[in-house]
Amino acid sequence: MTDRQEPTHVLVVDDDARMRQVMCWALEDEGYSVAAAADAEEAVAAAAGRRPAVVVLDYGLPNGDGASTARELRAVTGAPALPIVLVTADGRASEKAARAGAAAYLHKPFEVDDLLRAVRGARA
Amino acid sequence: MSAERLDPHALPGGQARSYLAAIVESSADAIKAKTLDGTIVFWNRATERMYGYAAEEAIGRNVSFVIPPERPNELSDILARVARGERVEHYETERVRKDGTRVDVSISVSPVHDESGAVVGAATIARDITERRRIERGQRLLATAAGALVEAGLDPAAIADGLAGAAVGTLADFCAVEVLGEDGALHLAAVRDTNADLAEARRRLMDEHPLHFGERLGGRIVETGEAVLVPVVDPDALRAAMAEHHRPQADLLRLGSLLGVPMRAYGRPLGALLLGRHDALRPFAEQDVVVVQELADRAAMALDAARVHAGEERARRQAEHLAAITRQIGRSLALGDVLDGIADAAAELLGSPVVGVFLLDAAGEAFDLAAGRGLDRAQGAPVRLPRRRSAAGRAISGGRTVVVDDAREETALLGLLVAGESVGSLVVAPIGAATAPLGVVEVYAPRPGAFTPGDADLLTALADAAAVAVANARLHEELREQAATHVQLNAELRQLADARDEARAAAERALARTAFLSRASGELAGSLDYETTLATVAHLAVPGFADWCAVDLVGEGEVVRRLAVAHVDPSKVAVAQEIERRYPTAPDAPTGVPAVVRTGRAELYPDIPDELLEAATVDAEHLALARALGLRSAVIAPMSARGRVLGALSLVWAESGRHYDDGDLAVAEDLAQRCAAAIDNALLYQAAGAARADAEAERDRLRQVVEELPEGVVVLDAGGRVVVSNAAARTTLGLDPVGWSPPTGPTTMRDVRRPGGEAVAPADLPIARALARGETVHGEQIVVHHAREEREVALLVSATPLRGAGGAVEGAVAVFQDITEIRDLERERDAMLATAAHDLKNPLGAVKGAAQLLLRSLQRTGTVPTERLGPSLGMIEDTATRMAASLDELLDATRLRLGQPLALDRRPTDLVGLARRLAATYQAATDAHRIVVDAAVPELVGDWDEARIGRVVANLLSNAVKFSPAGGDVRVEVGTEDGARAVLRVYDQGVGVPPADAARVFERFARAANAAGVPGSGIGLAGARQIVEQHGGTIGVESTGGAGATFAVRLPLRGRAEAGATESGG
Repeated sequence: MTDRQEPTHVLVVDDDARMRQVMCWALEDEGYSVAAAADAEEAVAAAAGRRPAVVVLDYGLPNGDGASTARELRAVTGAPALPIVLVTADGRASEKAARAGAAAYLHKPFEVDDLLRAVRGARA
Repeated sequence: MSAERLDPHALPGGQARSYLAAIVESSADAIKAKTLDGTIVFWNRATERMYGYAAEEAIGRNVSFVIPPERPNELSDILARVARGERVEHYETERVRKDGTRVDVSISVSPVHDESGAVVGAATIARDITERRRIERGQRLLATAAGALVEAGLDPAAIADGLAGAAVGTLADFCAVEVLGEDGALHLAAVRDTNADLAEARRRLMDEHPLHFGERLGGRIVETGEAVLVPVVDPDALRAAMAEHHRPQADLLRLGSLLGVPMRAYGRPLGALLLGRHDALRPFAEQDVVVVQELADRAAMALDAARVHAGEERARRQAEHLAAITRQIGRSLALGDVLDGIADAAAELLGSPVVGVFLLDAAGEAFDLAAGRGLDRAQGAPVRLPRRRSAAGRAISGGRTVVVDDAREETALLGLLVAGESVGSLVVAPIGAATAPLGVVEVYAPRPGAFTPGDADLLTALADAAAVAVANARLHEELREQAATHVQLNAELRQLADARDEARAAAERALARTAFLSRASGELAGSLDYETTLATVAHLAVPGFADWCAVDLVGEGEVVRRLAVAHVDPSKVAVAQEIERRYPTAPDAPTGVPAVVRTGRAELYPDIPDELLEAATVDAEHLALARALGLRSAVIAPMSARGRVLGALSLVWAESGRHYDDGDLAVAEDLAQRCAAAIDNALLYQAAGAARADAEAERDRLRQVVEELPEGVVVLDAGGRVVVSNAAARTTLGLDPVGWSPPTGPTTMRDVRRPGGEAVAPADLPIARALARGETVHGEQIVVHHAREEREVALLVSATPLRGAGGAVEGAVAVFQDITEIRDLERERDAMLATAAHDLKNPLGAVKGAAQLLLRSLQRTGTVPTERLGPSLGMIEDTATRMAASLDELLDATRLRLGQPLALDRRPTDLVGLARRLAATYQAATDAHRIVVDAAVPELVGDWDEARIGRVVANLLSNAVKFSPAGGDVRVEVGTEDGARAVLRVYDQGVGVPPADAARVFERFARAANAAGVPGSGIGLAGARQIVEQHGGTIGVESTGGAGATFAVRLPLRGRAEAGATESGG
């Protein structure tokens, strides 16, 4: 991040702890402030606590799919256009992205650069 | 008159004159005075009114201007009488008004004397009597007309003419009577004119330029029922009102005044009466209308009466006519005459010159024109009328007469014209009963709607009479033909009789031969045992056709074998056999049976001289024996069929002394031929029988093979019914499909779908397509319902049509494989691979990400932060280990699915701890279920493969959760049995396992009937059983169905039950 303002806040939601950790590291390295959540419930709580500028969301959460989680996050943040980068481990990502109203989507395993580009793009 | 009584002398001179002048001036009578040369000297007011001339215009002029030119002497006569001192009293004449019209007057003329008494002038008193004359004329007219109508009687033409005659000369210069015909058109019934040439001119005009109803004044009058009065006809207006092509004739009509009235009878208009005057000198007036209308109505009544009478008269005449015609038609028996008679009769009866008589052709599909009148047949070809769609066809089909008011379509069918014009209407009557129609008679008219029901009745009557005549004529013709045939036959018989004598012997012989041949043929055809039959035939030939008869057959290896020898005397047969035995005929003998068999040519020996016997015998004894037989004549005929010589028939005359001739040879050849055919037939039949037996056996074998084929086979016949099924088909479908057709099969078999789920219409089933479209279908997948079990059966079907010799599809066969297991396996494999891929992608993503981050850091700063390095590497290591475990699991699952043993990694394992860990894991994934572990001991350690046993327990827990969709308790019980076995039970409160399925759930790919809709995953119960059994344990279901399921796993606590499975499975 080049601006000197408050760092952009990103919420990373993934039930896979290692994946979550890696994504947090990558974003923190770029200067984002990052919050992490392991499931939909945690994610909603986190977003309610501090409104993220971008959400990186795993589609296959144990308690709620990406589309419904996205809806809840938008509701709780009061941001209907909340940018979401959807991450999925199996196919039909574009379809799922459309369903969740996502700004971008990534297939696991993805390049770190792709994640960063997607988050940057989603914010813009 | 009053002037006469006025005494002028009683008044003073001037006064008297004034009085007179005033009286005369105001008189209602027209008074005028003139000198003896006619010069008007006085003209009173009434005269002014009467003639239209003012006094100033008249006085001083000669009075002749009011005298009609056709009365040139009237004035001079009157003046002459007056000059002689006479008075003219009430002289009725006519005068000319200033406007040219005439006025009827009654005049009285008195002489006017001067003082000397000499006549110096004439005083005229005129009275207008026009009205009176009009009434008189009307009365005269009515009287005249009454006379004319009485005279005319019931003749319509005479009535019209009488009417016209009465009108012309009294009231009109011209009269036309236009009468409404039965055809609805106006006909000029009578026209009269004071000028006969004009009447003729009118008639010609109407003939040459007929007017339509609406174009005629009469038509307008008939239509409106109102009189038309045109007192003064304006020539220009007349011309404008006339039909265009009549306009040039307007002057010819000479119409000065016109009056037309309808002729009405009983309120019905029958026509119009038109009166005219050549000039407008005496225009028709309103007063005339009443009279003329009265006249017209009287005439109409007369006309109506005439018509009624005419109708009756015509009917009577027609009836008489019909009877006469019928007699006439029936008189002739020649069909042509009869048909011509019918045509003439129809033309005459219906008053139409155009008639066609058609006869139905032999096929009963069309009519041929048989007789016609007035039909234009310029096209040359005989006129044919199709039965279908024609009125004639309807007439004979319905057995009734048909009137066609608009016959354009009909005559288009006919393709003919009537006198060069199209046909307007027609009436057609059937000739002959509806059950045996002969034809029709059709009568045409150029005008549409020309025929009445009366016409139809008339034609029907004629056609009925005609039917009898036609039938008679036909019968007659047949009889004549038969008679001709009889004559022919007689002649031939005579000829035959002439030849009879010389032919009798031959005929009898021929008859005998024929009888023999016929008997022989009967024998031959009667049996397939040809050897016996041929022996019988040989005996039949004796003695009528031979003393000896022998039959030789060519057997196998072309060896000739004597089948039968017949002779009336059996002892002679024995001799012959003895000769044959001792001196068998050489196969290569130049003559005799071997030669005939070899060449296929018959041999005839009219005589058998001794030399022949010598040449044919081998030694003296042979010759002696042959001579002893006394052979006289012989014939040997080959028995050949389809180009192959099968044997020979030998006939011999001996003791009877008779001889064979060429005729006998022919009979022998014929007989031999018949024998050959019988043999051939029998052989063929035997061969066919053998072939049939072979085919039967083949079919049985085939049936056996089909029955035992592992694939399902069904065969449909041409009607689409299943006629053959095999065991596999019955097992796969759960029923025997023989007898049903796919579209009407049992409900379960009707709901056929594609693997994708869309329904397959019965007509789209592979076998239906093969049958209906001759299509060959290769390996198509369909899904059907098992008939007895609640499950789907996936089939891979191939179907092909069965074609007969001609290539026509006579049935179809479908072969199918139950690929349900393969399909399920594929599905599970696909699901497993998807899950595996998904499960591997997360750790892979993490490893990849962590490594990339480390690399980035290294690239950017040349170093890696130590606080990141440790956790990153730790995570990578840990993840790689987990991934390896996942892959192991995947590999295990694959092996288990394929039934391959696993390489167990036995270690001391605590079953209680394992159960608790797994219970916690599954509990974390569900809120609907409560998973509890109930252990009798704190720990239960055995020598087991922890990972694999863990998978077994996980599988049971997973199932317990999955099959209790409503939630509930899942209880895991861990304990020991007999101190030798560990027992782990998993209880749930779900759907349970039906008892019938209890044994099957552990089979590979098996799923309980109520497991539909629950996705399968993991190693399955089959895999679990394999793991447990590899450990030397058992797994089983203890369930009562519906009350939840209980699965129990028993594992040996000590010792290794498994054999070398571990090692070999590595």
